[in-house]
Amino acid sequence: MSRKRLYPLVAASLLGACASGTDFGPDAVRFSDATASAIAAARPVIAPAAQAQARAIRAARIANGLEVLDVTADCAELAFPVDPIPVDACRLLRFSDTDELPAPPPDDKLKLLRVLDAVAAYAESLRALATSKTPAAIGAATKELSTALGTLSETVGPQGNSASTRFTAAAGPAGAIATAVAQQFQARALRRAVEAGQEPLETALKLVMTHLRELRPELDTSYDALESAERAMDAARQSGNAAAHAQAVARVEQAHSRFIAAQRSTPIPALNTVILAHRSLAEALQRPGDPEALIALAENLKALTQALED
Amino acid sequence: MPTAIRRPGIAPSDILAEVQTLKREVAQARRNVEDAKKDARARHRYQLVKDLSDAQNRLTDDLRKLDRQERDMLLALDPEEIIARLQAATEIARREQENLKRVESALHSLSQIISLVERVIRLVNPA
Repeated sequence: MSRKRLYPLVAASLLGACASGTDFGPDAVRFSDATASAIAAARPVIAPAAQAQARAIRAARIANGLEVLDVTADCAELAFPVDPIPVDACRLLRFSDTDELPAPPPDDKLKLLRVLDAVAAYAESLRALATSKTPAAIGAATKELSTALGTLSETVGPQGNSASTRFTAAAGPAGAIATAVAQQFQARALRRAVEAGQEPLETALKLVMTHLRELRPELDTSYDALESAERAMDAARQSGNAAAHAQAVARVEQAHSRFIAAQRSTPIPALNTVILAHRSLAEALQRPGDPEALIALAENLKALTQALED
Repeated sequence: MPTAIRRPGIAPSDILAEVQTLKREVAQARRNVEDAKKDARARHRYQLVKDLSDAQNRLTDDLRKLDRQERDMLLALDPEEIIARLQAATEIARREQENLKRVESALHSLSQIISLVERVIRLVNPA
């Protein structure tokens, strides 16, 4: 392939793939952080109920003559060594299925901990994708490619030195553009993952929040009290009884404080933050691109095309 | 009050989505009434404020009923199914990361091939 045909091909492949070079890493990391802290806050609220269910299931299995534990074969091999095996391999297998039980105790809180694990794993996978070092590596690989192309053109071309100079000039911008292209790839990859996660994540977190509300009835009762106090205050004001009105006002203030305290005592506000963070991440990934990143990209593209045309 | 009715052939997730939409609409209506109350207060139309408060209370009752419906439907969901869907999204993120690594690897291989071609040309034509 002639050099004149090769240059536009390289340029076109970089330009074509590159609509914007926005780094979505910070958004994804913020999401991952919010999720990790919200889950850390939710776990201790759910854990006691989940442990109680686990105990009930174990008792029911024992009562029905079903297996509860088994010792892995590795334990015997640790005691009577055959081949070297790690100590951790000696485990207890626990059975907590409720299917075989005639009147199974509930296991919804137990399953909820696994829902939290799945949310955490999803958030962590987004973080891994967003903080991947691949864009920098692709930038370096493209610079390497430009250098290789430069050396090749120097070898085959009639004006070797001039071609080499042009490629050296282009190598820098090409690396930067390749990084932007990689960011674009990364953004697309993130968008696919976030789109797939949007609905199940919201449903999972709403499920967790619903269970938290069931576990904390004061969330409902404190709002009911606030609502009743407000209605009583309106009635007292309309009755024209100033003393009753004053008392009702004080009761609304107290009920409001109790309601806010109840809300703040649960991880529900934090879990709502996760939903909002995920939505904002999805929106950021849908946006055409950050203006500053686009300007930097345009400058790099100009530098590259100039270097190739000279 | 608005209700989401269970219909044969309609997936529970669709009914849940319908309940959530209704909830959002009722909540929006409450906010609109709140704005109207502010406006009525500014105009000193206190009877209207009272009427609007009554309307807001009725909307609160609707919101509470819809919330109960939503909660019951969420509690009836199978967590295993949600876990499976989250795991599928997690798997997509992992696969995408592998794809990114392959792009880098392809560029690296291309530069190696070009270097090889260049060396062959030098061998054939040392001048």
